[in-house]
Amino acid sequence: MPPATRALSCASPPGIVQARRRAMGSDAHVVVVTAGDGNPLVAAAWARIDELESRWSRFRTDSEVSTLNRCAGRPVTVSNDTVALIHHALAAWRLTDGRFDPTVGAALVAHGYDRDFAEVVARGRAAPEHTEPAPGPSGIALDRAAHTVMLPAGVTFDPGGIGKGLGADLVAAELLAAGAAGALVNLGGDVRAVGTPPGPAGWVISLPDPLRTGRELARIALPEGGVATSSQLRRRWSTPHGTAHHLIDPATGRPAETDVVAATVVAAEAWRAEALTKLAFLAGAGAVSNRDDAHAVVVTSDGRRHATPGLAGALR
Amino acid sequence: MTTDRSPARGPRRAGRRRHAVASRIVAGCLSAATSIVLVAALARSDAATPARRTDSLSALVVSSDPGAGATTPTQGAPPLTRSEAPPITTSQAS
Repeated sequence: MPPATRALSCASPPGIVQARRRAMGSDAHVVVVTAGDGNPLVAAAWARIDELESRWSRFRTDSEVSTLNRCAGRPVTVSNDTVALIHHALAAWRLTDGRFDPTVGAALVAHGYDRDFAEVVARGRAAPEHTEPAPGPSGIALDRAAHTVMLPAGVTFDPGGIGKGLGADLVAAELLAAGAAGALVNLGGDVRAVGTPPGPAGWVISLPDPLRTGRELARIALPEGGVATSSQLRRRWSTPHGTAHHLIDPATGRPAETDVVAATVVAAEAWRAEALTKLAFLAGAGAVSNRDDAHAVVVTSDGRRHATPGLAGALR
Repeated sequence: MTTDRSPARGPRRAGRRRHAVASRIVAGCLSAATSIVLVAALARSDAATPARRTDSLSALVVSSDPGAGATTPTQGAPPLTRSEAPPITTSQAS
C-alpha cells in the first residue's frame, strides 16, 4: 500500500474550531475539538445559546423568564430549558445556604438594573433609600411533570449567573452528543469543558488578576470541569448615592458590601461553580475552603489571595 | 406437619393480637398526627404563598429533571494542575 493511501486510511487527528462573539450580554467563546468539520457544530452552538438567551433573558419582554415575572401568582407553562433553569436555581440556593438567591430580581430593578447593562450605565438612576431582603425562592412552585412554574405574587426571578453557567453546561454537553470529541463553552467567564481537550495538558484556562490588568492570577489545566468568576469590579454603575454593582446581597437587598473583589471557583459543572462564587463572595473564602466539590480563590481589596489547597499551587 | 405446628400456634396468635393492638394504636397516632398536619396545611393555605411550596424543594432530583442532562447530583472537585501551556480561554467576569 503506498504511503499516501496508508495516510488516508488513518483517522485524522482532531482539529480545533473556535469562535467568539457577544451572547447573553457577555463575551462568549465556543471551542470544538473534532476530527470532522467543526464549523456546523460551532454554528449550532451559537444558535442554541441564542435560543437559551431568548428564553431566559430578563430584558426581553417575550422571554419565558419575563413571562414568569409578569404572571407571578399564576402557573406558567415553560420549556424543558426553563424547567432546568428553575430547578438549578433552587438547587444553587440550597447549595449556598441562600447566598445565591434567584429572587434578587426586584432589588436589581430597584437599583436600576432593569435593562441591558450598557443602557443602565448610560442612564444612571438613584439607588432606593429603603430596601428589603430578597423574598427567597421557597415559594416557587415547580411542576416538572407538567412543565409549569409559578412564582409567588411580587417575586421577580433573576437567573443571574446561573443562566450563563447552566447554558455553558447544556451547550457543551449537546456538542458532545452531536459528535464533537471535546467542547468548551465560555459564557461571560462561566466555562464548561467536556470531552477530549485540544492538547495533552488538558483544558488550559487563564484566570485574570482582578487588581492587576493584563496579569494572570492563575493558569490551570483541567481534564474536564466548570470554572466561574464573579467580580464586583464588573457591571458597576453610578447612582446619586455612590457606585452600585450587580452582586446583590439577598440578606439586605443592596449591592454586597464586602472586601471580596473577585471570586473564582472550579467545580464539576459551571452552574455549580457559578453558585459557589456567590457563596465565596458573600461569606468569604472560608465558606468554600473545606468543600470537597470545589476549588476556589478569592481576592480581597487589600490584594490578598485566599485559595483552597487545590488552587493555591496554581497561583502566580 | 399440622401437629408439629400446633405448639407454636398459641403464642403466634397472641403475638398477632399484640401486633394488631399495636398497629391500631400506631394508626390512631398517625391519624391524629395527620389531622394536625392537615389542619396546619389548611391554615397555611389561607396565606398568600402557594400551598405547593414545600414540594418545589423536596422534589429536587436532578437525574429525572427535563433538560438537566448536563448535570449530575453530586460530583467532587475536578483535578486541576498549574499549567504553563497556552490557555484556550479565560474565565473573566464580564
